[in-house]
Amino acid sequence: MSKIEDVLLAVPEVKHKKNDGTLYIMKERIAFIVENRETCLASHSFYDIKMQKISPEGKPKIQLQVVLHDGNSSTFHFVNRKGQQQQIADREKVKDLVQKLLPNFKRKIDSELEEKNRVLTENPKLLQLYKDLVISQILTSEEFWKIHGKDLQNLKGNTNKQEIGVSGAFLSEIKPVTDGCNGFKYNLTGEIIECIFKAYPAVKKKHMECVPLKLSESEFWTRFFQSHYFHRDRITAGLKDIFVECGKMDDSTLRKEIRSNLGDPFLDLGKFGDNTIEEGFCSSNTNDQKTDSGGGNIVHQSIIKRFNQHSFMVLKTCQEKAVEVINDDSNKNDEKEKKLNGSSESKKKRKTIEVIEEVPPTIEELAEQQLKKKQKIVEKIQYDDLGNDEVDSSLPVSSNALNLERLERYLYGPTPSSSTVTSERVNKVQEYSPDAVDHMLRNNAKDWGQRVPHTQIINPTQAVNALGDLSPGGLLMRGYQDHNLSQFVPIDFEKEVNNLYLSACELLKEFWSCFPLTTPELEAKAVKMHDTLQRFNMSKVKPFEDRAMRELSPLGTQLVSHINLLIETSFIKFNKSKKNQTMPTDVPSETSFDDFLCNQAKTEYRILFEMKLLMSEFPSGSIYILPNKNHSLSWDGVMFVRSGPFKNGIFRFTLHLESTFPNQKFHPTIKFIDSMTHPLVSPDTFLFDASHAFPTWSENDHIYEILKFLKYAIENVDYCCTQIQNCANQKAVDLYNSDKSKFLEISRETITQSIKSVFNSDNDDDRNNHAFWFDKRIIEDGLHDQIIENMKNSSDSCENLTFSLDRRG
Amino acid sequence: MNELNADDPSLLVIALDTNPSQSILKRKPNLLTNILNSISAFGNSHLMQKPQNKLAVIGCHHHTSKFLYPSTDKSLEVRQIDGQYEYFTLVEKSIKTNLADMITNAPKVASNNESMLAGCLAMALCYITRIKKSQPPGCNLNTRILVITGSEDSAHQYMTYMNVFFTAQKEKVVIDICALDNTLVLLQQGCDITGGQYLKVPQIEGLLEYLLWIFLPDPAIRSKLALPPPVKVDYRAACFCHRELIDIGFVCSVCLSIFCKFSPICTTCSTVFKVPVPLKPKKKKIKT
Repeated sequence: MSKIEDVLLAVPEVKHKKNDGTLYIMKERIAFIVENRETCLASHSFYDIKMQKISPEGKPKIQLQVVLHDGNSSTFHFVNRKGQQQQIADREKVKDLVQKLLPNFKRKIDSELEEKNRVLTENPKLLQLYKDLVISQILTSEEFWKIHGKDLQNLKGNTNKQEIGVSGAFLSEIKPVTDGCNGFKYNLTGEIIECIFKAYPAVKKKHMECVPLKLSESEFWTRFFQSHYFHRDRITAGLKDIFVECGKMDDSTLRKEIRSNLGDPFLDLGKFGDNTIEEGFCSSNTNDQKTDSGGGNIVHQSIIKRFNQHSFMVLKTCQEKAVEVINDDSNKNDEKEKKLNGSSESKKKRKTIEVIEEVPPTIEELAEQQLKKKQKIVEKIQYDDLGNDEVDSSLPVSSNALNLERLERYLYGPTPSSSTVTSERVNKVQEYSPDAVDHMLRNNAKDWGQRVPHTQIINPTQAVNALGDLSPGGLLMRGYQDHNLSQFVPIDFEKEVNNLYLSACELLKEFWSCFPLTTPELEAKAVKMHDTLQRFNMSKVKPFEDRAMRELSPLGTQLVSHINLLIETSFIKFNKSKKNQTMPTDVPSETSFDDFLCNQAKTEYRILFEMKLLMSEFPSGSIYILPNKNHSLSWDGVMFVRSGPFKNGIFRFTLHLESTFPNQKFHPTIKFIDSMTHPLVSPDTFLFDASHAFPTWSENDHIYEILKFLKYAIENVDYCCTQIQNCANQKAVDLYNSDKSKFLEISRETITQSIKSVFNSDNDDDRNNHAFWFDKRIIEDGLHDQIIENMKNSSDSCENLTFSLDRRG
Repeated sequence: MNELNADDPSLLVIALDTNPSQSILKRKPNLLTNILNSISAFGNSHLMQKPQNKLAVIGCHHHTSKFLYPSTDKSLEVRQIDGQYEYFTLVEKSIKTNLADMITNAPKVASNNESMLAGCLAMALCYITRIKKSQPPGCNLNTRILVITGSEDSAHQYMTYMNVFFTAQKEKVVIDICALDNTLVLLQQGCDITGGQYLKVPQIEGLLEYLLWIFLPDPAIRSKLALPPPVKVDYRAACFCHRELIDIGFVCSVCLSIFCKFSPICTTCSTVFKVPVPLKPKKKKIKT
């Protein structure tokens, strides 16, 4: 690498770490290469170098030490064979060159360091963190700044946004200097002129008009300071000068401003009135106003006008800034002025208004005003953080009224826990009936008219017992000392615990922000943070715990138990995630409990949805299906066949969903409870094969669709035999194709068998657990006829009725 | 609370649960006499502390709540007995006669009637407000309510209780609870909210001692005494589905109903929720 860079100086015969070699000084680094080898034993960028030290004169060894910013240092020993003089000369050469080069790099570092230093001093919290984490070498300083770089940026951003305002005393700060004769000299700087322009826009205009052409720069300013315009606040004789116009200009802009109401369509400055509470409060002003209305005190009027004008200017600049400036300290001056003027502003407005002639606004202006008003309203009622979907729809807002079905739920508190009630019931003695209690109370009440001897109210032993309960250490005073725990902890311990929490929380925050580990960077970061936490635990928490144990023996563990818990939790999480990484993800649902819950909820919701869809999509009368009462992933169904070779058969079946439903590869399995000779029903497993219609299963497929297919396939054997290749029961297909009558015979047998099995539920578990189950009594007791009757009466309720009768459990 | 001044006179309203269906009376109906005696003694002790102190006693029976003292309808003729101050005799006598009246005139207990304690507390608050208003300007009055009951917690009065508690807090009325029999979770909250004292009496026979020790001192000076430490109050919410206390649950974002289990449709306001979507990386894994 050294070959690429320019070598500025090469000093042979230098020892470093007892190796002989050559010291090279390159443009950006200082490097040491061992003799006869290519390896670079030491290489320091100038960025890293803090300073260099040389061995004091008179020492036998001629050395140069380079101290780095991170505290490390490298020492180079100059061993020129020509003697000490030469050695010193070598060292001087190196030293001078490094000295020359270092400042170039230093400045960069310094500015950065200074910035960091400033940030640290401004944030005591950050400083504490820095002390805890960096100085104790839990984190390196780079890592620390990487984490808190954002804060740094923010701080920088804030400081850059300030804008210098006009000082309130900008004019009085211009110190006039007597020139010895009868005059004054004003020293104007560019900044002052800028301020004057800002405060008196009319002067700026005038300046632009006059200066290069009519007057010289100095002449202009002399006139300005002499002018009535400048002095009009004070009473001076009216001099004829160029600034007379300025006053008029100001007046006209002021009038314009009032008419535009500062750009706020809802503000009417003309309406501002001055209401004093009574005579005596602000009386000087109000009196003036009254007497002035006839055109009296010109001084007050002009000063009021000046105030008004000034407040307008302040308001204007504020409005301009409002967009960008959030809160500036430099605005203090402005604000002060504003406050000062605000009071006078409102008071005097009315009078100024009188002078203004009303100009009827044109239609365009009106329209524009309307638009502005609308904008202003929208601005006021719209919030960024509340979505704006309702506002921009021009349609009438169709907000759903809140419909609380069970209002009473809000009104009830928790039910008293049954456990306490029962426990109290256990040791109850004997309870009288309410009537007896009432009777006894009435009897007692009769005696209440008599006086009670005082000894009866409480007897001494009981009083002493009660006192015992209430004295410290008694039954009721247990734990009386407990809440004073904080008093036992000395302040320095408290502070330390605070600091521990601060650092621990910071590290933990970083640690947990890595999860879930979706990218390799995050994983790497998690590993790093885990190590850091371990280091923190060992170097900070453990020593503190030991100390606390020693010095505050009963409380030691309590103080840090929570921190330990926090750290332990993070370790557990880390180890768990590591385990998951090493293991192939065969059990995806176990990676996180949240996901698991999510998936489960999703599946359950999907099942509910399927059920609802089924109810609305599937016509009743042939297939009834219900999720099993024990597990919702298995559904029980029964099919009444209305046509085809299996007509009048009643077949029960179960439908199984996978736990990942609806994300499953194959269609839900449908299994018949009893055997059935059908092309699509496997003769061995009784499974119905729907892969012809549903080769795969996706979220877009629904259960009612597969049931429709089932119904169709059972009722149309012909279709199955002719259209479908590779049927599950090839024998049945062959039989159907060759000997239809034989097939029909078998199917008839199946039908009778199915009806029999439906009514005869033997001890077979599989059958008994099925949701659909028929009782012979339905037919025998005439219930069946009743149901039919009911069905005729109300076609709606037929479904419910059959369900309620069929459902068991 | 720091506005309470120990030098100001105080008004104490005692709300006494006399409902015959409360379990403690069912077991020992004669206890009521004992309780009554203790309360009149306690009330008189309160009056004795400062000449300006005021007292009111409300009886909460199974059908109604009524002021036992000061009685509204008739004035009792009191003369001195045993050298007792007539005022105290009046207090004791009017409490007892009025309660006897109430009990004898009460309709028969139908079944297990709940004591309408919340209503009784509301009455007490109204009374306190009235007295406070009639105070001459510049005079402060420390006010508190002492509830003495052996009933159980009632879920049905939950809302009324809460309204009473927060009104009391706003009016700076301290609510003290003296539970004779059951632990009262709901009323504990009231104590906690208003800064009162909660006590479950270990032995009912020593009631007067407990009352004098714990409830006689004004709240303003209680901080200086060694009183039983405040109980840890359980502020957990009850789920709307089973009325059980839960630490973490699901809250409907529309009507704020609380549920202990996730359900896709809010059963209170019928809002349909989106199904929580699993994280994206997860989805990929499933698909592959």
